[in-house]
Amino acid sequence: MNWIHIAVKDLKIIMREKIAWLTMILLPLVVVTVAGFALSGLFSESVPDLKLAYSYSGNAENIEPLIHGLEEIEAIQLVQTGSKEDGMKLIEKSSVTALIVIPEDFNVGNINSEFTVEFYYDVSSQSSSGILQGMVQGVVNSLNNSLVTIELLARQAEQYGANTQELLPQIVEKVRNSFHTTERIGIAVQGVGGEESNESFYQVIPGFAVMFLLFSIIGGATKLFDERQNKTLRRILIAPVKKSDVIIGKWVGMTIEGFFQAVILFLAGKLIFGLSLGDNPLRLLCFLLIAAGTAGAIGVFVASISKSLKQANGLAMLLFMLMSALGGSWWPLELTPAFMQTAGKFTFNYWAISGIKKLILFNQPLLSVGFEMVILALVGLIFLFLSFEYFKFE
Amino acid sequence: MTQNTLVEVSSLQKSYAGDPVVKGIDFNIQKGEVMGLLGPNGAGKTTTVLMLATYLAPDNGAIKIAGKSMSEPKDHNAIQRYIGYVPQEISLYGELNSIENLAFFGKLYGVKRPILEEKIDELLELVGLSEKSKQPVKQFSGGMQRRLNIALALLHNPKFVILDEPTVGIDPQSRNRIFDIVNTLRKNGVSILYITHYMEEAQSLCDRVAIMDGGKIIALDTVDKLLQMVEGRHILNVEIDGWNEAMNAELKSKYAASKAAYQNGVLSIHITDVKGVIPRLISDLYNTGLTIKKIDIKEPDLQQVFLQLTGKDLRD
Repeated sequence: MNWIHIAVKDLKIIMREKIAWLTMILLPLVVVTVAGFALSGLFSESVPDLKLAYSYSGNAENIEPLIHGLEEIEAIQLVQTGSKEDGMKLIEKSSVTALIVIPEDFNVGNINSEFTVEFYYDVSSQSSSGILQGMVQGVVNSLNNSLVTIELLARQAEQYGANTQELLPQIVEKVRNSFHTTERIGIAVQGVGGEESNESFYQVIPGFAVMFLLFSIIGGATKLFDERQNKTLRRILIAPVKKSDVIIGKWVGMTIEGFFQAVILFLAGKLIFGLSLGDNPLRLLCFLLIAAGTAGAIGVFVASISKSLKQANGLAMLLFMLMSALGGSWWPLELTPAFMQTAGKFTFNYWAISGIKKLILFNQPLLSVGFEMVILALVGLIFLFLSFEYFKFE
Repeated sequence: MTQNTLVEVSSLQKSYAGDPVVKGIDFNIQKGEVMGLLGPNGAGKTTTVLMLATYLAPDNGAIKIAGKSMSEPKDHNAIQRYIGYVPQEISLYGELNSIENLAFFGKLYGVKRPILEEKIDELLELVGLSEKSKQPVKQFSGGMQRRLNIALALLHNPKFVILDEPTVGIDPQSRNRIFDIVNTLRKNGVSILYITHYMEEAQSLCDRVAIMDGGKIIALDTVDKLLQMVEGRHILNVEIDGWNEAMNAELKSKYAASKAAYQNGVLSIHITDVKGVIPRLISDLYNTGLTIKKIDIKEPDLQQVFLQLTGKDLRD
């Protein structure tokens, strides 16, 4: 049972190191706080409007339906400019995100003409521009539908012998009014899976938590090399201690450290930003412990096969970056191409994130993440076995 | 080999990548004996020590400690408990204090409370660190760390202690304390293998000294007997004016000197019978009209023994 003494000693050393405290507690706290402020929606009222400039030199009455449609969208702040050039300058100065140039002859009442509204955007803020483009497109679509309606009504009236020229202004007026007021078909939105949440924050937190678990790989490898260098590892092996005790002791130490970090991250998320930990947080703790064990085993393996501290750090960093990127710690895997999603399944991060999401987002029972836990445990056991085989004690 | 023998080493060999480092060495260490191991860098000392400490397995040969063979797997654990190994490096956990360092290694050797606590107190007293027991070890001076490094090897009451260069880079006070520890252990019947570069330490502490070179033990005896191996054991340095080089040969034959040379105003004569020679030499030099400014007698040391045996300096 010497592995217990080795693990306890390692944890004591961690508790005495100021830098270890910094990475273990402060770093997850900072990350969760920054992510929380950025993504939790807690301060959504202060989210700035999307500024859209428009230029039009014709009769204001002709574009009134279009402008009114845009004004009704709360997220848009409209800015009128004198000319297209003035609007472009505003984009260059980042004063507005996009500019629409409305042709001079634009008139909703002129059903026989075609118009093109030009949309210019700031290439440095493509996401905001994309959202704005979607909003403008929505308003333009509504107007198009109105114009089709007017045309149909006019043709119908003609068939019944009505004087279209006389009736058209009245039809246009009716349709224009209905465009502003009628909302016949609405969409009722309902979230599924646990509490109402902010998708971005809930995507980021499991990803970061898993990333912190992987940090133990780097830390663990460094610590093991310190022990090799100052010959304390040699001293331990000269004592009646089995080599397996050394490996297990190191693994347990790394596992507890990683687990503690992940717990702090979730706890901070819960306390500061009301992150849901599911109905029974014990499920999450249980899952995190298994995930931490797997990360610890990968850490011991990296330390086992490396010949120098430099090599261990390099290999650990490579694994850390690769698995975090492919496994969904940095961005939702759904956004990546199919082959990357497949590759992601071969990473520790994918399975750990998948399990955590099921527990905190969908509030599922522990049994529902059984597959993830089995995969993680198997991976951990394989890496531990390889560590026993290839551990370099000198 | 006697009933008093604790460590028996025979035909011990070890190679690294086909390169022989230890080439069949034999020696015994008696109970309560301090045996020194001297040799230049690359002589095979560290490899020998690591084999004795059970860290390296020999390619050939045998090591027995207290009658138990290291090659017997069933005896391996027992042998590890007989040995206290003090590495040349300061192998401590700097973030932990003395008590925590001692407790950790004590537990690895299976020392249980309350014996462990008593032993820790006793050892801290022995190495003079009782008052600093709760201070992180990284705040200790080099000498204090060296003393704790020794204490760590004594927690389980070993029968055989290996001290590998225990006094490197420390202050005289700590060095004297370490000498006291060695003498206390000897009095308690503990056998010690003392590896050092310092000849004066080996001469003053060790009952016997083994000199290693090129993977072999080239001499092993008591210090006195080793010193007797030196031809012209004493070196008489006489500072004089006006020496004639032609007188060197006459001097050698007249005083049975193994070597005589004059350089930079100093005449050096290597002789065995220093007491018989000095009065005659002074008288002869006086009669030749030379002025004697200073006479200095240099005692023989292990450095000279090594030089005589190998033709090279121990520190090479």
